[in-house]
Amino acid sequence: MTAQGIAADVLLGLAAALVLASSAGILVMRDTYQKLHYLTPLALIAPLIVGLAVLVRSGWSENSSETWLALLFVVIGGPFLTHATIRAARIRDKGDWRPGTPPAQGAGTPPAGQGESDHGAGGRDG
Amino acid sequence: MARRAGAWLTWWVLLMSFWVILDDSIATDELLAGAGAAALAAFLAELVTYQAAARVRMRAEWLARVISLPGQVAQDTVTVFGALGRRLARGEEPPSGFRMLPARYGDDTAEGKTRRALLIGSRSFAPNSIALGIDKDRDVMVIHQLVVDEGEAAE
Repeated sequence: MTAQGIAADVLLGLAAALVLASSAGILVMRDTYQKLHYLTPLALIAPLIVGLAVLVRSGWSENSSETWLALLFVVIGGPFLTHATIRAARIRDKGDWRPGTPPAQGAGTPPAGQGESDHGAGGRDG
Repeated sequence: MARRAGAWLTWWVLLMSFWVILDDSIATDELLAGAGAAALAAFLAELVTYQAAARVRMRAEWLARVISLPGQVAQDTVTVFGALGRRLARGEEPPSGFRMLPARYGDDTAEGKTRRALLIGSRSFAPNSIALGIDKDRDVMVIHQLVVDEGEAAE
């Protein structure tokens, strides 16, 4: 096996480990807000590492160009999808994403303030 | 109308280019399929842009922050997996919460909207922070952090 092959395998292993760890994060974290923070490693960092593995294996070829073009869409779209998801979750919980707004009907937790905890524990939860 | 047609054409050229790169074929039937798909996608992109009244106008200096993003991603990745490690090892809850950071809302011009979109996107890029939006009334950006960092500002 060449050095390139080993490096590519290491990168692929790293990406797989990152996906597994992120999955564990989504599994063990308490609520939607906390779980969402583990989407970025899954949806952004691991694909970038896979892209690097393709680059190491193939060099700047047609294959790696296609991979990086696809990654470009992922990189641009990912943060906005995460933003839209957490905003929707917040609106569902409180009726409005902005802190200090009255809670939505049926929402039991108080509204957010500056540095507010998402779980009502005075600035931080936990 | 001419501006809208020009925007549609720009979308079509861009999307058709992506098709050719990704499909990796210049066979006539493949190109025709790509042209149709690109035309439909360009129409939808232009329709959505029109309905959202969104126009992109960017300043080069706004892109300067992109340079700092890889470092921020690396640092935040360590932070969130550190929190996961403590959660798994000791059952410790991460000190997560919402924060409001000073961020000028700005105007409703194309430039102002683009600036806000870039601010929100860049704030949601690294794993430890996700932006919910910029409050027009208070000129603050609301973010959620998995591990709250007390000492930073939005811009």
